[in-house]
Amino acid sequence: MYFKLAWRNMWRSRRRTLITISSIFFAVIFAILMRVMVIGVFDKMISDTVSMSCGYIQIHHTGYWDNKSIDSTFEENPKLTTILNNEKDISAWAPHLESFSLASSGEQTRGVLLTGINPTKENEVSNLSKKLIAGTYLADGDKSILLAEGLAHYLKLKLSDTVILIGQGYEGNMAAGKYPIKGIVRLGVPEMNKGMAWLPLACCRDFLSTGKRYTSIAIMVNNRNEAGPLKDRIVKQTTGMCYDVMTWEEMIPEINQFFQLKMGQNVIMSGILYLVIAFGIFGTILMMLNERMHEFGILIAIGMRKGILATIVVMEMVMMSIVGTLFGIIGAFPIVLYFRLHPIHLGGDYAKVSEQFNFEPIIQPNIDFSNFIIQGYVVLVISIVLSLYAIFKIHKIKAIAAINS
Amino acid sequence: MLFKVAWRNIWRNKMRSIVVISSVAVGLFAGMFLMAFFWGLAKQEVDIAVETQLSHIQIHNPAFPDDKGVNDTIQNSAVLAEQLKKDSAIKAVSARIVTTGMISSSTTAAGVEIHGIIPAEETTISSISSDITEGSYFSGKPNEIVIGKKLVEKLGVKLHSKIVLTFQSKSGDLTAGSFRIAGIFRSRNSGFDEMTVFTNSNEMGQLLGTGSAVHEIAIMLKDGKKADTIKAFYKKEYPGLLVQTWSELSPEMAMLNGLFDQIMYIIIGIILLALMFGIINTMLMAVLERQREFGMLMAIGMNKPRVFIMVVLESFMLTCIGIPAGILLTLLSVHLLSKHGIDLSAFSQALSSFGFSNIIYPELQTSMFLPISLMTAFTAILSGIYPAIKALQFKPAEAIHKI
Repeated sequence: MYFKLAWRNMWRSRRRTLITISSIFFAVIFAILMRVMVIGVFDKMISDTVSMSCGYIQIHHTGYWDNKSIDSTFEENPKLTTILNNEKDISAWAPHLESFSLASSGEQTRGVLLTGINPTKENEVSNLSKKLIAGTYLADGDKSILLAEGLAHYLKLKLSDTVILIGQGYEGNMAAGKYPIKGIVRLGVPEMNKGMAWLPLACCRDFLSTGKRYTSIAIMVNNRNEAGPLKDRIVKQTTGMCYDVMTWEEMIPEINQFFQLKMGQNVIMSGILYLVIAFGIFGTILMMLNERMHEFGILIAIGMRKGILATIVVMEMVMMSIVGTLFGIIGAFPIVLYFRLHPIHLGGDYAKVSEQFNFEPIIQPNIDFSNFIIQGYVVLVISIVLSLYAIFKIHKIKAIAAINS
Repeated sequence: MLFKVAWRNIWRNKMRSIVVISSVAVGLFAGMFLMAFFWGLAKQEVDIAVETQLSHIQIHNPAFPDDKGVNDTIQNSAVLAEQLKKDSAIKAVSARIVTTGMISSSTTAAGVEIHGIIPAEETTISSISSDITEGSYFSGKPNEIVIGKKLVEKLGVKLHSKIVLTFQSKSGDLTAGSFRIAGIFRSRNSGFDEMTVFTNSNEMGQLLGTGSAVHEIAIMLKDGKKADTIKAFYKKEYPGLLVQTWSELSPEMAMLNGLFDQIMYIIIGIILLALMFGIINTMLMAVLERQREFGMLMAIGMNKPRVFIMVVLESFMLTCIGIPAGILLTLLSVHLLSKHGIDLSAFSQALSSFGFSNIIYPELQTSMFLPISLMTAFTAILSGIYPAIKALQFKPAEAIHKI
């Protein structure tokens, strides 16, 4: 009965209903837009950082991360390869053999982080070949080296010159070797640009006398949120195999902390947007109540109880809120999808600097559906809470004054 | 005449007017408060970086930043440092030897940047001396080294452990020196803690063979905002040297700030759009409610342009009242919060041990008042036009009969 009345009221004044619904509809769209944009920026920052440093997940020999010794490596294991190849969530993975050694041109010497890589797989993880500024990318059988630009500059070496590497190999072996420079790579972070070098895996294993060993396997995933569950699955499947599995949050906690900090600051921005949204919706509700004072006055005068009237009005608003929220969620989808496919390109000084750092200067929204649901839910709660104002307003009605308004 | 009618209309229905006025005020407040929030945030981050690491201005040999070569020292650095100390705009000066090398404990090795400093000078310029968690910031014994907490963990050493630094000397030979850890610091930048060690500059000078020559002169100003002008002055004075401000020294920070600036503009855009739709809806409701009134006005001979102008005038007036109210609201809230700060620790898992501060002190930039007010006013008046057009479409005879 009450529901029927509320339903009929909604259809009696379609224009009024439409305005109220649209105010909630737009509120939901804006809340969603803001959320997915901000999350999208973080996604991009994290994936750009992680792909160049350690991947979303790494597998090491137990204890390697705390004490990065070349002795704490692990052998190639077909079982592990099968596990990784069978995981759908993994977008790419690449083995690394890393060691700190000295690189010298004969006159100049500098400490470098040497990484033995599988050229094809590495490219899927870190896009290394795209960062070449001279020469060509490594191929599997090469006995040549890639140097970071700053390092080559310091050593005063050019393409095809020979660089001498000296370091500590497996089980205390002396490691020394000479390699021609096949390519020069420019990295964004100045520290990395001054101290990185890459050899093909086989060549690096010869240099460090490690046999068929890795220090780590770096794994990229399709979606950042999958990293945690994926880690748990890998841990479960590799129990008893002496591996440590770590996520990026554990390996580079300062980046994760920075991200957490920015998320905290984002609460303020969302709060302010909700405030603006709430005022918009409240204004509409208030006007609507105002407009219907005459109607309410007559209803009360002919004997309708205020409690019942308030129930009906709140029911109407809850229905309108639900409709507005649903349409808002649906309506936001094409907008978000559009920006996903056509990201916003940032301009100005930022674009120039960020390209130097290998960051793409774009804002691309996140399309995780949970953001839509959460934001829709928040706006729905806001509008329902605001509609409770009607109860207060209706209880204060004086029938005669209302009829004459 | 119309003006008077519009003015009276506003006060005839106080509730409605207050809703529109407060929407405008809240919209303005939202934009300005966010600006103040971001500005305070950016300033705080810069302050931390300047105090621990960058200082306001640094002077180098032009060849130094690229290679960090041992031979790229500053000519006549002692004279230059003395002269800088006499400048009344400069608070403190520290001359440093800077070189890269390898630090090794009995178990492992890592690459580091070695800073040879005069402890008494360095204390005046960087906050590291107050970030000591164990031991002391140089006690005066020979061959002391001060290193970061993160590096200590990486090397597996303790306070008073012996470590070896290996680096290239002036003549090109690999040189090694043995040092004892006198103090361990933890700054607000863990990357810095892992990469930087401090030794006495006279000892480093001897090992490197550079004597009293230095690679870097760091300058702290009394007023950080003057960095650009003071930099320009010394750049002219010493054309052979590289003089850089903190923003040139740390392009990555400029990048992050630039990124968040742009995000902020997008967010303010979204908020203004939300505001616009809020006001349109409220005004639309208000106009619909007044159908009968408009019908009556048109029936007694008021023409359509006049009705239109009247409705737009009403929005304009409401906006004019809303904007000062919004400014007042912003001033009040920022004034209160800039004293106590906004504590975000409830929403953020960022740990203070990583050097992040969860308390933000918003700071107003007065230059932002005008653009944001204009943007809000524009939005509000624009959103008054659609309802006004709607009002024109009423047919007088029908409108009068509407309840």
